[in-house]
Amino acid sequence: MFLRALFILVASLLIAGLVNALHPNKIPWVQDWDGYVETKAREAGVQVVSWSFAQEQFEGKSALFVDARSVDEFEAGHIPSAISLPFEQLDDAFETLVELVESEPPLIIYCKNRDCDDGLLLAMEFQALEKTNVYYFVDGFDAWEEAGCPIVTP
Amino acid sequence: MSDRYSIKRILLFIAGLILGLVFLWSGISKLLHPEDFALAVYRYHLLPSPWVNLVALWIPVLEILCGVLVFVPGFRCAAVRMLIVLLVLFSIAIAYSIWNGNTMACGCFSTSVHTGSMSWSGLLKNIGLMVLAFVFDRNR
Repeated sequence: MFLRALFILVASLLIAGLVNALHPNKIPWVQDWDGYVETKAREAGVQVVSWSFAQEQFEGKSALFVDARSVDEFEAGHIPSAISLPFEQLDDAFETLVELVESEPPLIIYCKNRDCDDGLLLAMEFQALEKTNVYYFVDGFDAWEEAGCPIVTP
Repeated sequence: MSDRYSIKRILLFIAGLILGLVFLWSGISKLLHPEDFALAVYRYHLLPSPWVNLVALWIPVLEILCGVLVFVPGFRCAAVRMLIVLLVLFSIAIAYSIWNGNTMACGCFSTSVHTGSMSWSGLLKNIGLMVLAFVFDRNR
């Protein structure tokens, strides 16, 4: 039994190597996930949430969505009722920032996709201002749109 | 007595069939989207960074191979026990993640980020499969 189990383990590893070498979407065997935005968010103590969590909050109208992308990206399409607060222009949006810090509902911050860190930086800004119920929807607008969820377009 | 034996054999065959097909399906769906499955593995935050892709590439093939070998008499025992070990590890990982408030998709039978969050019901499905594999192994 032990030898057969060992055979299965070794054979599966070899086949995995072969499949990955021939796969059209092959991935590297070793990847640096530590540089990933999501890892940085966890290290910063920011609560990272999934698409399904964001969708539940959206359907229940229980949270405010905050869009950290640029104004142009926001105008091209955004989650309905989301507030535009581009991280790059945060200094010009002090009033909106204060209003959101003082608001009661939880904030769900999103960016373009999981490689974009403006959303994380914005979430950290709220955290620094002692806003407690802040969530970072890491998969972002692209995943939202891809899933066929409602969006506002011009 | 022989009727009861036949029914037992049929039930065991069905249990083996379910087990084999579930893992075949699960493995193939992960194998088709290695990048998405690697992301799902990463999101458990249980493995050191360099291990994530290795595990994400290995597990689907292991699942498929075990799913196939459940139907091969000489390898059935080893394959089923391997599946039990996998299910125990998956269940611990899911339980730990839910306990820590992880809301990400579990990556169990689909690698899409658009599937629901990890949940206790998902964990129960895993435990159900574990029981099925255990019963199958005991009564072969």
